[in-house]
Amino acid sequence: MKQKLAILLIACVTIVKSATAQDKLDNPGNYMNAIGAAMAQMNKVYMSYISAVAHNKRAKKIEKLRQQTVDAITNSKYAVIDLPIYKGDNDLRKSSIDYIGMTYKVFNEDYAHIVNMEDIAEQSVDAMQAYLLLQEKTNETLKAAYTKMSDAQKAFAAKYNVKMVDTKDDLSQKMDKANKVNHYHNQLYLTIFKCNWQTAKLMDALGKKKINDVEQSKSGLLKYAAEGFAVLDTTKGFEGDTALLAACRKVLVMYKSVGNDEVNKLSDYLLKNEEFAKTKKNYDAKAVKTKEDTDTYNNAIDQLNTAGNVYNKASVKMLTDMNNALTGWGNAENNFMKSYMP
Amino acid sequence: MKFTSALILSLCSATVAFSQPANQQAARAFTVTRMIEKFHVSPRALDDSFSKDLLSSFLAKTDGDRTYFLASDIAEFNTYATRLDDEIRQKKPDFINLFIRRYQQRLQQADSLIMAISAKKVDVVTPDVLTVAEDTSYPADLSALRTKYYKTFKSDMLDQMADILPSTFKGVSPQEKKYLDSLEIAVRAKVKTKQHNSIIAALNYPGGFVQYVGDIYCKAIAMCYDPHTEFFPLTEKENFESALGQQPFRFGFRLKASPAGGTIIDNLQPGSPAYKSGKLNSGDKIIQLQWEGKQPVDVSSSSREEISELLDASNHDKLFLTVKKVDGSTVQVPLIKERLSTDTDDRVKSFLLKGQKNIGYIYLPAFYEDWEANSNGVNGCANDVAREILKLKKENIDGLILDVRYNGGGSVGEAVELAGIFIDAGPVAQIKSREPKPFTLKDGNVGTMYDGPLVLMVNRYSASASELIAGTLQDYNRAAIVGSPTFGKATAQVVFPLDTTVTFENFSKKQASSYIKITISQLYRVNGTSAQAKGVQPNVLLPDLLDAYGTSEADEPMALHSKDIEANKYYKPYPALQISSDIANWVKSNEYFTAVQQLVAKATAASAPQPVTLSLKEAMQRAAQVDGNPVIKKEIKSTSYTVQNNTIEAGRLVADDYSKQLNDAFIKMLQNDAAVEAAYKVAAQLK
Repeated sequence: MKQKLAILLIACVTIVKSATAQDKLDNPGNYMNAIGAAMAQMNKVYMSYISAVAHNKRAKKIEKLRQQTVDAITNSKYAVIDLPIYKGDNDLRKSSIDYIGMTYKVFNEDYAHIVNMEDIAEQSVDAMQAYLLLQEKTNETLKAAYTKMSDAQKAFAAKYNVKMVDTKDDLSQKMDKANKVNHYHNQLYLTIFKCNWQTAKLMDALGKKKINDVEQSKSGLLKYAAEGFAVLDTTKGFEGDTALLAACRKVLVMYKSVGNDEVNKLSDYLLKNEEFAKTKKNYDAKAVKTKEDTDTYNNAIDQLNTAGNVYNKASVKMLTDMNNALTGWGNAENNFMKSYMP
Repeated sequence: MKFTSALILSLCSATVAFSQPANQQAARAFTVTRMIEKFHVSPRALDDSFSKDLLSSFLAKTDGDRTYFLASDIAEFNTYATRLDDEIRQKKPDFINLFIRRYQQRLQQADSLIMAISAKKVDVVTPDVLTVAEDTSYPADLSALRTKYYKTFKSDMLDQMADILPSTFKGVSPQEKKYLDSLEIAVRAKVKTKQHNSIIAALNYPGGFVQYVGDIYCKAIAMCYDPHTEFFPLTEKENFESALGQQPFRFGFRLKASPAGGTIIDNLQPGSPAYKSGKLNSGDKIIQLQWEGKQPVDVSSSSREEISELLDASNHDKLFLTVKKVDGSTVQVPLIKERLSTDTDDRVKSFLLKGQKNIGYIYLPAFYEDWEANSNGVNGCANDVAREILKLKKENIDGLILDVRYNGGGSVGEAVELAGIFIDAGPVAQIKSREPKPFTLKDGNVGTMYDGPLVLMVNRYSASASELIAGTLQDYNRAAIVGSPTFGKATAQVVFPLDTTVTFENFSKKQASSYIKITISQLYRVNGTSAQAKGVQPNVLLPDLLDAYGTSEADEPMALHSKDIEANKYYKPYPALQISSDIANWVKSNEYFTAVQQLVAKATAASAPQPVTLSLKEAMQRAAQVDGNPVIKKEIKSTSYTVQNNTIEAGRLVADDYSKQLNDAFIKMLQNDAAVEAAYKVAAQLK
């Protein structure tokens, strides 16, 4: 897996037009701003982290930023916890703490406390499905926590007559952009990710010479490639730039041809090889060999050699094609991030 | 009078001799129930109803024909009818002691009767009648017992003679009469020896008679939980090894004693000539062995040991084995010993049925596993089937038939892999043990290997793993199931040493003097129903001779019945299959199926207890019912297709005479099999 599918935090900086200039927290506007400020800190560090990941910074730096993000999330959580309950009304404070708590779990990959892992295991058939399902469910849970907080904000504002202003500062604009870029990239990458996974299974099956697994992985690969084409057909370029889309299509075209052509040549050889072993066994077991026996045997050798040559050519072609298409995709990914990720 | 007093004396002394070992049997019976209560998937309560069932199954096992005990003995046993549960719980030997005394006395008495009856000529021509009342009750007194014994002895003789005599035999000409006289003497001696030997074997049991009765008692107890929970005493090492798959195969099959006498095929070794011939199935009774160029040997009432010795002793090449199928027909199969080496080639056979449509046909008689540790299931049956499908796909087939008739099951793992060939990744079946939550068996392979029209052929002897695959493919609407309802075994067993301290973790490392096979889980379909005691109902029903002559799980009085569980939430069926009503009409008008249906109807009507007329003429008529039916005997060639080998194999077969011989026989069989023709028609019309 070249790159993980990033789970995205959502920008949630609330700007409130204060009724008075007072700093005191018994003013509802100030109270909302205090919560917003606590979270702004954590979003800032998070943004640096996500930008470093997108721009292929060194692993050490990325890890350092990840740690800083975790620390910032912890600090934000404590900052909100330290706030008093507003005149006996704890909804906004509580939903904010819950949301921050959830982001903390996501960052620490503490999935067992976010989703029902047993349910995920029951629903999925292999590690890839389990992984994707986990991402999906985690995103859903995170979104739900965010929505709950967002609703609490609105309710709070309405109840205490606070006017919320929909102006975005630089940080939230950056986060919005980062979200868009990542979302666009992820949906294309997901199609390739599935094909890559399936190809790894295919290679494994070929190594084991197990025809059942070879043929099923092949059909799985073609299925994922077809799914990928369907995604491409409904996706437009990013701000008019179709380079990533084109690179993705090239990878899918390559996988389709692997599934439709190359694999058949490889499994054909496996079959001929097994058949030859049987013929040889019969031939060797015969004390007296007739001309017919020898002809059959020689014919089997010829067939095996022919299939062997086809096999070798197909393997080389498959590996070269894969290498080219995936390198092309990697370059397109880098360019895309360089151009669009804040 | 003298006789009576002597008997009383011997009984008294016997009581003293029995009491100690009888205590041991009572303790063993207790251990058996404890073990089963510990591991069984749903152990029934040890109560009065259990006690009643135990008494009747114990009597069925010790005197199934009701020719040993008198009605007065039974009345005596019946005083324990609701107390055996208490006896077991308290490890009391009272009932066992009583039974041992009575049983020994009656066996000795029966042996004297055998001697007396067999000393005189038995009139096989003049009819006697074994009435229903006689057959289904215990004789009231010694004189009634003697009469009944004579009739069952005669019945045994008649069955054997009917097997031997040609159907044209009338017994009218002096020559025939003379032959009949000599045959009567020979068969009488044979039946005498068989019956006498079986009584002597019981009385002189290796561990003693008390042990003999104790073993049967423990078996009867195990049986009360379900038909697959079984007790194996040490003396049944071969049965036990067979259950573990360790008994050696002879000529590619394992043997076991038939409950009805004689020896039957227990199971077939995949890849062996017996298996590849396609003509032998488990349950076939061995009738006759004939080495090439030698006289045939009648083994219809021989024990497993005797037949095994015969098979082992000879170094001859070719054996003609004659078996009697469950439906009563006889089949002869040539087998070659030298070809028996670990031949793993061609364990799964595939053919092309070429007609208006090209339909592939694959025969899979067992779900065997890959036993090699590091070969990743390459030699398991699922991969073998996959290989054949790939060969058939190269022939551009329009549909596929997978035949699991007579397939008694095997590896569940292989069945799951096999399902994966036809369905995309997802749940395949559910296993429910004592845990409240079922465990889902899944196909983890994304993608399918074959997604075209599919027909699965089944019959009453398709059991266990075969029913799993049938259920799965039906729930997914993936295959049309064609044939008769399947056997109905949806449970899994484990063999434990008889030792209450064993656990699931350590049982395989422990050893004991006896073993017990316990049903530990039940199998459910993805839709939450189970094939247990119901079988899988085919989409296209075909009349089958086994409908009348075969048995299924539901025929077992102690069979488990399972309640439905929740359907798996995550399985997504394919669109429903469209099967044209033309197929049912074709079956209805088919000559073979019509004959089978009539025969089955007749046999079913006759299955209620009826008086049996004991004469040679009647016995021969009964035997001829199936074998003599002109339509069923007739080879009706299918006009829908011709059978061919696939291109890849065809070349190799040319150079291998024996494989070719088996192959040709198989092709002929497929060409004449009406059920295959029905499957072909279904496959051809599926979209």
